[in-house]
Amino acid sequence: MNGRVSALQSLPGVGLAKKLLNRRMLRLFFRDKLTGLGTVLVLVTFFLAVAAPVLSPFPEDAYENVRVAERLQSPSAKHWFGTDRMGRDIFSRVLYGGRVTLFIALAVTLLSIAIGVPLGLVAGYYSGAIHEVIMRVADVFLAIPRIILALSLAAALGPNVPNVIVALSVSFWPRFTRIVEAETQSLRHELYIEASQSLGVSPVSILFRHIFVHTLPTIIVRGTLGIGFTILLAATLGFIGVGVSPPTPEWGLMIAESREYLPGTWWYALFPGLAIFLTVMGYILMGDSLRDAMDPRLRGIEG
Amino acid sequence: MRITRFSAIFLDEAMTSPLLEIRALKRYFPVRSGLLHRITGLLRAVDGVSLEVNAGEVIGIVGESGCGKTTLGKTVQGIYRPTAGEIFLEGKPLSRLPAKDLRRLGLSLQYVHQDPLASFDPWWPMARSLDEPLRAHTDLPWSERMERVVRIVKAVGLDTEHLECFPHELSGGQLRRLTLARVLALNPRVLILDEPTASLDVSVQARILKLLSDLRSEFKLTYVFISHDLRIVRIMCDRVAVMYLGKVVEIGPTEAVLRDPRHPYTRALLAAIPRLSPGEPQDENLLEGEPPSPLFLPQGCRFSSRCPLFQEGLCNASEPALSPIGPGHEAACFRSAELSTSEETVARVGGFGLEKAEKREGSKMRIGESDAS
Repeated sequence: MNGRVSALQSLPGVGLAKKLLNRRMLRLFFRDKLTGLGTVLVLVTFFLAVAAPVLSPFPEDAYENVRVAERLQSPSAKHWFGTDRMGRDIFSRVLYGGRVTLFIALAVTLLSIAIGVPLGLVAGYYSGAIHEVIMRVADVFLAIPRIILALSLAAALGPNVPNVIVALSVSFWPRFTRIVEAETQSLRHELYIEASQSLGVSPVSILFRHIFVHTLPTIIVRGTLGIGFTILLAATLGFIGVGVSPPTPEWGLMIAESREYLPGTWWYALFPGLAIFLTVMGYILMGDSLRDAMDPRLRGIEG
Repeated sequence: MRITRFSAIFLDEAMTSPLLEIRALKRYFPVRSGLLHRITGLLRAVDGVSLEVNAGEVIGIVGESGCGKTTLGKTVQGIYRPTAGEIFLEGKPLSRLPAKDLRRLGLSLQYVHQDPLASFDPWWPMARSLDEPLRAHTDLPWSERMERVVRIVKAVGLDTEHLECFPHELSGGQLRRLTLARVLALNPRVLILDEPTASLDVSVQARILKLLSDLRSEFKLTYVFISHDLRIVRIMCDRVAVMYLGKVVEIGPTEAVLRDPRHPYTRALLAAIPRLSPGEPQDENLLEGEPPSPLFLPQGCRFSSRCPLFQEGLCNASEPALSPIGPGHEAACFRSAELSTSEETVARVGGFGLEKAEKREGSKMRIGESDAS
């Protein structure tokens, strides 16, 4: 990569990164305290999940373990968040639960992007049969409420992590197809797309090097918000009992287990619940401010 | 320059078939409305245009906005698929060629958009935009492609530093030069230039025109020069075709058409040129109103609704075809004979600002000189 022109400038993605990370956008992004809070929450929960094996005082409690003597103890110096019905340390389980939940949410979002975005690009770029087929299929999925579709699929597939990911992805990809299709439709009539076409650039190249790059901000915003809602949905599936199966430390599942011991053992439901609340809020706050920072229609509005 | 221009025309007419030939080209746009999106009308943007473009010449396409100049250009380049008609390049019909040959041959016909800012991806630095056609059509490594880009950018009078800029950081004139650089990378033979001086101030216009004539001789180009500015057409073009509502109403050598216009519409366009001297009264023969909608064309001659020479029973009965008037000069008007150059017309044409153009004729070099400064 050595030329007379700065090589860096011409590398794919550098222009984009420059655009996305220009100071103005960063200023817009961090213009209020809620944004900072969202970003901090996202980073902290991610760090806690990754570092769970190091941070948790009782890593062996994450899955199957029974300590009858210590069951249902209230929070103490030894067990910060108390213990559950098996005597397992809830703090450790909440940390490990973050790993499971974040893994599910990230996998679902990435899988949905991987399926939904290319379909949206193709549907938006071409008119006619391809467009109709893709969009009508997407419409069928969109017509069913996400929770009901995910619930019935998860129930049919059986309770384990890969199945939860499949169930949630199937109900999520059409949303990416929809928004990417709409953006592609408007972008494909831009003069610079027409110019590339008349220069004989291939459709694949136009779709990925021009159009996809321009839809990235939308995808990032939707993806971030989507992670939040997916965490909530995964917890809901766990709570209902069609999500992951019992020994797995999953927040929704933990709350479901706690129900029979309420209200006496308040810590049993409170800490997994707080974990869900803070993580989801983090992603949604961050997604909202990403949207404000990247949405061209909101540019120029200074807070 | 004058001499080479005419020799080019005559030699080519005598020897070879035209480089680019357009035969009865039509491009209609369906108009849909209502709930069911049914086609309720046809917008006849280009409605039967035939044109021969010889190698090395500059042919001007003039007319009001909305007369189909841009659609003609884009259809000829292949951005729009023609509704009917044929386009021949080097004698080969573009619509009937196998895809591979079409791709290769089609590249030698390039269109330069009217709006240079919108024709570059706003998120791409110029180097990447200019590299795009090379990347698509050559197997050269990146460093060699960049060398070629730099060469072409120098040829259009810009510097390597401009390659690192994003479109919004450049001026209209610089962007215009870069649009030319981008198509030149493909070694085209014919350039369709859509209003190449639009929205530029006069001094920049002059420099772009100078650049265009330099590039023409350097890269052996043929231009289809779309413009609404007759003064620029007069400086740049060997021949000119006047379009009205999707049809050519008059065509011929620039001098002949502008000195002796045989279609009332051409006359009206000439009358509309603003004069520089404040004392001179504006011509009172200006056209009134807007051209009729290309959705609902008038009966007979399509200019009949605005024509000062309209004659009941003749002009609304049938549509006049292009008929020869002088060498290479044709007009589509039943009453074109009555428009022949009388003493009176000569005087009026003189008043149309052409005398000033005449002086400019001798001062073509002056444009060049001002550019050097």
